[in-house]
Amino acid sequence: MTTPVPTLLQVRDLAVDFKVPRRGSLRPARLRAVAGVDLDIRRGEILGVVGESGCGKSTTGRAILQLLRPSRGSVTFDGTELTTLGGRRMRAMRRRMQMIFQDPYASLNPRMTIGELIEEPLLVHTDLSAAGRRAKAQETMRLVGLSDRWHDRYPHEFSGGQRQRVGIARALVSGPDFVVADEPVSALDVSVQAQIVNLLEQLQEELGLTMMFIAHDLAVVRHLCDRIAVMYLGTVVEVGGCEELYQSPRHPYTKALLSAVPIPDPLVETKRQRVILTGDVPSPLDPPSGCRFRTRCWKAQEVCATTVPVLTDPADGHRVACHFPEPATVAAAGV
Amino acid sequence: MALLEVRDLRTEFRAARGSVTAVDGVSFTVDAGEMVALVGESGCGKSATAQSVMGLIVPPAGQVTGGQVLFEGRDLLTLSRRELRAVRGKGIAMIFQDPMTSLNPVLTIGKQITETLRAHLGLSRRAARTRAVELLEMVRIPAAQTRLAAYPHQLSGGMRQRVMIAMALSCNPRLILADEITTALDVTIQAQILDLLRDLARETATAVLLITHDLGVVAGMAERVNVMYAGQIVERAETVDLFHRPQMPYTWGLLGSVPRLDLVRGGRLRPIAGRPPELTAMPPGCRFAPRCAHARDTCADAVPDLVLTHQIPDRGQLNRCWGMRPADAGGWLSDEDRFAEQTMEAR
Repeated sequence: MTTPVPTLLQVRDLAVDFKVPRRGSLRPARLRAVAGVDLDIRRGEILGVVGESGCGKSTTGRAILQLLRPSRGSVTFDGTELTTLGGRRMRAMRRRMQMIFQDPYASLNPRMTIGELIEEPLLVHTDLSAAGRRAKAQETMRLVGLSDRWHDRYPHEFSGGQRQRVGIARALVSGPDFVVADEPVSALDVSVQAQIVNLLEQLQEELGLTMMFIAHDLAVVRHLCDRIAVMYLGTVVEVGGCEELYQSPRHPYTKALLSAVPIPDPLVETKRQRVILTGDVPSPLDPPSGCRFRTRCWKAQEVCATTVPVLTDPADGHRVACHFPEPATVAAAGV
Repeated sequence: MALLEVRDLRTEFRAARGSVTAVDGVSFTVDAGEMVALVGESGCGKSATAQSVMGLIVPPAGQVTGGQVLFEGRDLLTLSRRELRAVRGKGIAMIFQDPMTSLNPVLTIGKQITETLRAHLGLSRRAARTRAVELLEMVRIPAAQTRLAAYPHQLSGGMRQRVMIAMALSCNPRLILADEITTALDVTIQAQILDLLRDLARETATAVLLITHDLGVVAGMAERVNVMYAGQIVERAETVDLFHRPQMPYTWGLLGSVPRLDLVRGGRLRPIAGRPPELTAMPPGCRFAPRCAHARDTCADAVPDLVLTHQIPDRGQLNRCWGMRPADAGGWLSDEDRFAEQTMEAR
């Protein structure tokens, strides 16, 4: 906290719109999936982005990598503005920023061998010879815990956990300094999930990666991340250091989210005081005015309907966008 | 007498060559009004067990090839299709993971609930409608009256799962089989649905067999737990005992694999090495032995039986592990091994 770590990635006022067909009209409706997100990711840290389905966390990740065109805002990576970058320069930049996808079944071409899949980014990003690519791919396979003898096998021969290792190898083979991991362990069983979490932890330390880890599992995010951003309906409602945020959540949504996570201990579970939210997340096609969380918030007042709360910017870096945040001092409020 | 007693159940599915045994000698009980969990990872046979109990495994895809499913003393496996239909709904109801595939997309919610009520309880159209509104109110769906006209796609995932719970409860069953009912839901919605199921089961004294992969869900809901691995029950215990004194190395591994929000952030997780065996290539001895850090030669020779744990006498805890046998019977594992495996290294 005390020594300023240089920011590798800066996101300002990022918005992403999708067009969705509208009933009884030829003009599509605009769905604002990400509605003005600010994020800073420091070099060498893992920033966790959490939130429920449809909160815009994956869309934010894709827009940062310019896999989706933002409709507004800026993304600066290591001093370079990405949103205005041309095709060729963006492609060169992609070597340094890669993505790990959620579904290891859908993200690997079934007709390519493991080796070909891992070498593919090298074909795009480097002028290595075939032998050089093969050597590099095999080195990366060993790094992620795959046997390099599996070079000529196909994805269907592998389990979910091993396919995710292939996905990780593909992301890392070009030597990126920034990786967006989009729910990389959500599709895996717990015993395998732990293997992949440990692998990501180890790789991050060994390679000094900067990572944006998108997930809905708050326990995994806390385990892995240095800082956490909580998203709700397209906006960031709270950002802070991992332990601060978990010990003393300031946004009511963060508090509810933490209290909803089941804890594998019956004695703890039966004694917990839960905040159970009523209702569902509103449609992003028609978000509530003012604070987007107000329709489910037990603290909501008139001002919440009229004024959009902005992220505060306190010295400790624990930022919250709420008109009535929890006091900063409450300890262990979430659990 | 237990409400449900499953004895030595065996279910096979047809595979490319021959068949695979997805449920291999599973026995357990559920008492009236009790909430019992069946927990395990993908492919362990927990859903196949539930489907076998419900009579949903039909040839040629699969077949129950052995055992008994005693519900209120009657063996469901010997009933005719017609008799079984009378048990479903009124005796045992089932809620599935994905309400979108279990609800009919072209019928309104109201139609689907009233249909059930009329078929099973013989209610009149009007009485069924009144009861349907009551049921939707019971599962805390706002504006229940108007929701009857909604189609499934117009409801959110959480709402659809509420409708499923309403339908399951509609004929006052004695037992509900809840198969991964919150797996597709977000965590705040999961909390709502579990809260609802817990309250309603308690109010109506309905027994629940809760099938899940999530140990956190088990901890907050169930009174007793059965842990399944590779088609067999490998440990059974009161919930408190399972989490505080797990006896089977597989259970140690499961508990060591999940980070916990309520504890100080630890070091690396302690995953289980490897992955579950393929159903087509089961190890000859203990099915967990190939992944077990404590396995000895004995483990590969014969499958251990599910026996009472000697470490905690009188608690009725069972495990299927050679190493956990008493030392004079050749066992070699102790609580120290458990703690070494289960807890994370300090960072």
